[in-house]
Amino acid sequence: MASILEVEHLRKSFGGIVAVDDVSFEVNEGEILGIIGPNGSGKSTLFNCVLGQYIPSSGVVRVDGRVTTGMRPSRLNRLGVSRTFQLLQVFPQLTVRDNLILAGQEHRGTMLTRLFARPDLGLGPQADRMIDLFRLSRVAGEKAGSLSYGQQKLLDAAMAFMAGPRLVLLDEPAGGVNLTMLGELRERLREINAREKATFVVIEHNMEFVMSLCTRILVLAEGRLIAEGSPAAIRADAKVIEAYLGN
Amino acid sequence: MALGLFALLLFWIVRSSWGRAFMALRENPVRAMSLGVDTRRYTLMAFAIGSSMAGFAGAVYAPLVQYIEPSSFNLGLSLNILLMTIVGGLGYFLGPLLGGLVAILGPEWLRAAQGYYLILYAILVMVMMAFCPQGLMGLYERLAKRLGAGAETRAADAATRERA
Repeated sequence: MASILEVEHLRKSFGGIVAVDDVSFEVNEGEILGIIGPNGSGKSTLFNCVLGQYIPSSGVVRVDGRVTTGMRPSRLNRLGVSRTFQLLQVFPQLTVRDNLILAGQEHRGTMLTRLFARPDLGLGPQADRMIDLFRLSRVAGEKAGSLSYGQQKLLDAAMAFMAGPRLVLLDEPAGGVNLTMLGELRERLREINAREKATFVVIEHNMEFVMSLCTRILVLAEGRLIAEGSPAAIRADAKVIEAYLGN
Repeated sequence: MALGLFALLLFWIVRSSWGRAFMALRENPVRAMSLGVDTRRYTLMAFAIGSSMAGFAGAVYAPLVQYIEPSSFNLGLSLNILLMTIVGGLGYFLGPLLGGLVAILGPEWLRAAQGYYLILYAILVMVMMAFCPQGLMGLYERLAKRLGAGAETRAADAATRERA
């Protein structure tokens, strides 16, 4: 299997604190990789380094074999790498539909051709598909800020898939989402993974969610990679249990 | 004429995909960037569009007064223009127009107060900032919503009474 994302010896320190310490891993095309670890273990920092939000102190990130270390997030996104954030990040003043169209528009044409094109740039049908897929049709015309937390979370995820990305990094997609919505989210992610061949990397605290969704799991503790394997292997790993529960 | 032309042009830009990107940029630049919005270029364009409007305003201002000198473009004027957008409502299409009306007509209305008009004006602006930071358009939107909600409750009440 070809790897779509390669991270080599990545290290990020803030002053004297090393948040991510010599982490290397690969993500294969089409897989759903989970990253778990206690709070403060460096998961989000790792994401931010991969996605260009932070510039790593050292190490290399490659997408499709191309070095992308320190590339601007907007450029990385146009290469087909998309993300969601740990804390809710939708545009509250825009409607649900406009949020989705925005999420796809920068992948169409150039800035100049976009100015003279139709306002929705022909993304209407794709936005409607996402609205259907994530069961948001009842609120499609509402401002995103008026949606419930769970619905905003679904919208957030839908936005990440709007441009048909090849690699999606989801930072705690299940955080604060109720059980029904959670099942919904898992089904949608599986569907997109199977149908559009999108590759996922998921950071999550909800063990049940990670274990049932992911095919392979990495475990971070204090900035280091301490384990890697199938959900069953991770569940049984002594080091993982120790990292979570202490001695 | 110029106002109408520019209003049309702006309306078109605001409705286009650029307008959406500008709004996204205002609400959440980090998220916008993660969705491929080139924040640097859009910010630059926003400045360019704003500045070109100001430049054009200057170009029509000169033949109007037939005499220009540097002192007519002092700090006070800059503040006044900034005030127009804030009083009218930041982020509303009609905000600056409304703010402009207030900033031009306000001193006229308050002429009776003579020398005190600036103080009165300042107090008005401060009260508005404290109670309605979204400006006059925001105030209008809030009132419209309240009236709309009131009408809805009344309609619902009437419907319940009818059933009973």
